[in-house]
Amino acid sequence: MNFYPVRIIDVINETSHARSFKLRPGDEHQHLFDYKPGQFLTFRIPWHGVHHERCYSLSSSPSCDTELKVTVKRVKDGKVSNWFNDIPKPGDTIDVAPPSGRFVLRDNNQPLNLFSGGSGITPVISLIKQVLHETELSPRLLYANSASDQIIFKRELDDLNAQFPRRLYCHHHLDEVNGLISTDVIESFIADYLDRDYFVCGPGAFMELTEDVLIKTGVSHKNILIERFTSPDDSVANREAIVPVAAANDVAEFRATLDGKEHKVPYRQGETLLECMLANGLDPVHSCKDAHCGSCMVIRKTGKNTLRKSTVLSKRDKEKGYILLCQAIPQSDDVWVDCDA
Amino acid sequence: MTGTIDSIWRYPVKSMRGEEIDEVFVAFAGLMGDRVYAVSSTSSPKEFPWHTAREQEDFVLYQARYKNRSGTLTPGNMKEAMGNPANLNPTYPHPDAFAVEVETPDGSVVDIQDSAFLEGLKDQSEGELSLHYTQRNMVDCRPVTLFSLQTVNQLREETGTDIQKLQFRSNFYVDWDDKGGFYEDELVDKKVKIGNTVELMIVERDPRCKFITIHPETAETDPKLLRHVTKAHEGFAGVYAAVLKEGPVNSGDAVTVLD
Repeated sequence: MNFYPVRIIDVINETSHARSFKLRPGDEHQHLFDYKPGQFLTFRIPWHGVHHERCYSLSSSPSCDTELKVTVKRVKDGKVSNWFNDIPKPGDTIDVAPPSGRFVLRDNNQPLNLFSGGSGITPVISLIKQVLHETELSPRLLYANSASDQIIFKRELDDLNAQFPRRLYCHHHLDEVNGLISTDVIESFIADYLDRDYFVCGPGAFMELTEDVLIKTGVSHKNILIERFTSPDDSVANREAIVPVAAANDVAEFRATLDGKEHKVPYRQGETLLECMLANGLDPVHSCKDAHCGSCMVIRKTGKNTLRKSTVLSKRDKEKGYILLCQAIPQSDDVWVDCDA
Repeated sequence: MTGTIDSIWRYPVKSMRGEEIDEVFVAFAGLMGDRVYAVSSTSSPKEFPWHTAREQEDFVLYQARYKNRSGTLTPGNMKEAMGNPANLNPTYPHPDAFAVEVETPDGSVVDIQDSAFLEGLKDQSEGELSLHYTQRNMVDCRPVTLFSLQTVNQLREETGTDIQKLQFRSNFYVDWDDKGGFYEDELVDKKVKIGNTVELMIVERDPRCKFITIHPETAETDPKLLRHVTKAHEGFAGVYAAVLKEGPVNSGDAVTVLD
């Protein structure tokens, strides 16, 4: 992946925990940063002498924004998200790789329903702006946040509503008022709008629930586009914001059978099973660490996990219980993987 | 002489079952008729958009074949072009000559251009499928792959399993004279001549993925082979080659290391 110097033009405080950054590549690299709404940029950030790569979705749209814009939400103990919220200032230069990602509008002029939670709004607002400016479609958005003061882009959404009267329907769901989002809320939002494209981006539990309800309601898989908060090669909104979320917080250890021996491996928040095993002196077979080669395919005997990416796994692999150690995040405290099977 | 071409294989449709051929023209882009069709999926990664047996294991049980096989082995003007002092590039047949039909695992046969072909696959992918065609080979990384029978045998011995050479989906399977398994690794950065004309540069070892765990006859998978290759051979088996001199290759041709 090639990185290019990009200048920070402006820094905007969106909420107490999120900042947006307007970015401008050098003239000689400008053409490399053409993008589609919904795509993301990959950043290479220095942190304590080590470079970290993170992906953040573009919240700008080429239809109406002259500068590239990404928004980063601060995450407890997150290295890069806190760096973004504390360090960079206008005029600074950072290393950025060109846009990528497949969370983009399809060329079918299909009406849109969009679900976003928290910082998952970043690629979603990019899509919304494009649709409002470039089509006659009227997008519908369900936007979930913990509290009203944590709504990223509230003013921008209000402005869009004013600019395009009766075109944008935005339903705000606030956990502090309505409780955590539920099946009923999602079903009510879907209503009879089955024959639409559905875009979903947010925390893992939010996306899983939304996808589950969409499928059970009768929406086709092919009409559901999900932006998972995973690793740089997947389409990502804000990886650090999501990885520690959900049941993984309760996981203290997991079991791994390796070379005929059973090990109890301490789980380190936000890390993959492979990273935890390596940190504990275990060396299961692995290679690319990018879900591509399949060397670390193992059977999960018990428990639940999510996968940041599952590129190499087939439907049949998943049905057999195969997971990828390099991508697996435990979601229950009884995860047991068999690296010998 | 260092070895002999044991068999030549090409894969008319990327990831489907291939066909053994006795002769073929080796172009700079690879073997004539190799991987000229491929299926892509919108659910596959952008950098590797193909729908393959990695996503649908029984893709290897789909038999792709050219309707006019003899017309897809060597260019019609190969002798004239290569006989010219300028060593001219032979002219490939018209794209229609590469018409392919596919026999599915249930025995039905469908023209690959028929909409029924992709229709029959649609439930196998979460994304939308498209058919791609080019005369010039949709290989993963490099134009030609080479694998030795000795390497197959060594892996059989090391793993204690009945590994099939076709699990490695090579173009050329080579039988080395007096050489052991993985000898081809020693040829990286060296030139190899096959037959009277073709010269290859062995450019790198072939990094392996889940594909080698798929049995070519049953589509069943066993991850142990990939684990072994990763652990014992750094994840590599076989080699990639670039083509330095084009020309025909026949089964039984001598393989000579030039430097």
